Amino acid sequence: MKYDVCIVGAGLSGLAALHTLSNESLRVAIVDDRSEIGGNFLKRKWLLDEPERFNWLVEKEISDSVDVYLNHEAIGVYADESLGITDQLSLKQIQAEVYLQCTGLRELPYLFDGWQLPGVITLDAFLQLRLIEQVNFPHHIGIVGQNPLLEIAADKLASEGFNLIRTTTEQSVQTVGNKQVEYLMLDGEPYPVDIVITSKGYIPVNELAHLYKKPDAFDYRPQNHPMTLSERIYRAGQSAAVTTPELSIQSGQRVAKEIISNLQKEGV
Amino acid sequence: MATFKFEEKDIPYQVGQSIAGALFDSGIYGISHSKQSKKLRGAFCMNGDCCGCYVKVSDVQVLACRTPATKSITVKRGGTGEI
Repeated sequence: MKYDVCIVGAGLSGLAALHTLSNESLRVAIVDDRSEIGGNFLKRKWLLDEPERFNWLVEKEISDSVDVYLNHEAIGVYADESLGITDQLSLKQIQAEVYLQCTGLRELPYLFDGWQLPGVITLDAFLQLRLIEQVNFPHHIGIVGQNPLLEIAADKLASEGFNLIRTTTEQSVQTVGNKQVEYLMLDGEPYPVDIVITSKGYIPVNELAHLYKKPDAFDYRPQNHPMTLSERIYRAGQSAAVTTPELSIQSGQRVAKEIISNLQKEGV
Repeated sequence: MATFKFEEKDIPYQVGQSIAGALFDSGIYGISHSKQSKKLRGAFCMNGDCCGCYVKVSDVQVLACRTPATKSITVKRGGTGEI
């Protein structure tokens, strides 16, 4: 299938870029590995002050001229630089003039002794379970890690009446239990917990740029140079080291405008 | 409420929940066996990254966090790799 632009990731920056691109007569495809658009924003909006400011992007209807590939993961690049996507049953090949990586952030868990025990989950897993899947949580929850968003989540949980065991960076942390987590050991003292939430921070999901031979995954260009070393791949949003949801939307719009002007120069 | 079977137990689930989410709701966290350490493992990331939640649905290994719960399926503990 041939397109002018293929956006990978239907989060805030991908949808903002799609919104800008849809004003032009371009053939656009958008790919996401989840079953609905919205990306990580759907999970993490509970932690934002005013999530309704961003809802318009997710609620916006996508026009019929855009091909939406939900439940599709981008897994590889063909020799002609077209992108291979799969829904685990079939493989599709997407040929596009440019690819836009809007893959967002992946969570970096804080690992301690006993993190493998059942009942220890990451902050993103907690948000997915609680906000998307509406799971009821047990009363005693341990909080481990230095992610600032974890503090916000812990404050909200404490105000809802959960009994939290919070840890600091100076304490030695360990979980013990037989079949699942039973105690959180802080400096050797046991505290009974039902589950433990751990998070250290987030890292950009950058495999796509890597596939397109961007030499170093951690060599970020400054924000006003969104184009990576390969001229066919652009990055936007939090996978391009943007920090806030507002900047994510702005970077999606800005990169989309740059794509439009570059495509017009090439006469597409 | 609709249910599915996990290790001979009936597990209720809501529409939109994954197998891992429904099991978590029922208080079952250890849903997979580590081949290396012979201990139980559970859903850690709910993203499909950690691969700690392999279960067998009709003898096919799938990730419990990425598989929606459906009516009357039979789920058994699967084996995770070297976690």
